[in-house]
Amino acid sequence: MPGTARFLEDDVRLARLRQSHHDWILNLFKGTFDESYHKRLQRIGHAHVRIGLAAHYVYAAMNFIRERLRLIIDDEVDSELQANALRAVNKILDLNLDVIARTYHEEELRRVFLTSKLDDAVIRFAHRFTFGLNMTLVIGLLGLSLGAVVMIVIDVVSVFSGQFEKGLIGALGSLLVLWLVIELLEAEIDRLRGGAFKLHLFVGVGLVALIREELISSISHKDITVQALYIGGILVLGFISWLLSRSEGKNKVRPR
Amino acid sequence: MITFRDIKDHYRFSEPEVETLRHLLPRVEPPVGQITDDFYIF
Repeated sequence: MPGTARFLEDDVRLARLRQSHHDWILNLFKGTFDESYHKRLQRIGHAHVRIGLAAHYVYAAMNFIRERLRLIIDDEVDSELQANALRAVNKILDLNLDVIARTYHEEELRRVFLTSKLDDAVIRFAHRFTFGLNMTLVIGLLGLSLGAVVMIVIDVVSVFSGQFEKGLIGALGSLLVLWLVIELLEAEIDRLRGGAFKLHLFVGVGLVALIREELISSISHKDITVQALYIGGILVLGFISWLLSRSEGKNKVRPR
Repeated sequence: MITFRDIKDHYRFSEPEVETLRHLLPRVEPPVGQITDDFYIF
């Protein structure tokens, strides 16, 4: 059988296996079927499992032995005794197969149990790790919102300290950033409560960044080409954001 | 846990059948070497 060839390459091992099978066949007829016999069969099963021999070959081998023993009974046993002899041989072979096959099932169960325990542990760890990452994200967003508030305060101070235009435009940009951080924070809380992931918010991040840059560049009188690029970017991202909002079932920004 | 006695009972493996097997030993012993050889070229 091709699937068993790799177990039979070593001559010493082959000789040992031949002797083991020889003894095993003879022991079928020696009549000592006690717990020690049972343990010996279990050891045979475990040895097969340990070397990685597929259970299929055990069944095929048992069929081969059964057939050869049947031929011996046909040739050697008086015809009136053959039925009883065949029944006894079939039973002891089935008993052997039962015990050996059981070791395969036990090994399979053990592997499934171990795999399932490992799966549970990995999933539990992934859940905890993801929860930790989400908490880090929420804390980060809270920090960002505080930063945006500080930026607004600084811009308002600029307005009252004589830099009216710069302070006002800067405050508008900072308000946009604050609005975005609030949106992100709410989206994250919503997602933690089982809500859907909102892709349009990430396009919103780019959009707000461009709007803020455009506001700042307008007061710092940057080149018209740069400003045109910002406006073009705002239009493209605005369109994408609109398309995403529509596909996510949001035709307009939710009222606060 | 299932014992070997349980397994034997489930198969109704009786003492007369054990005796039958013992009586078969002298018939099986001579060709068993050939069976083993054939098994390894199977």
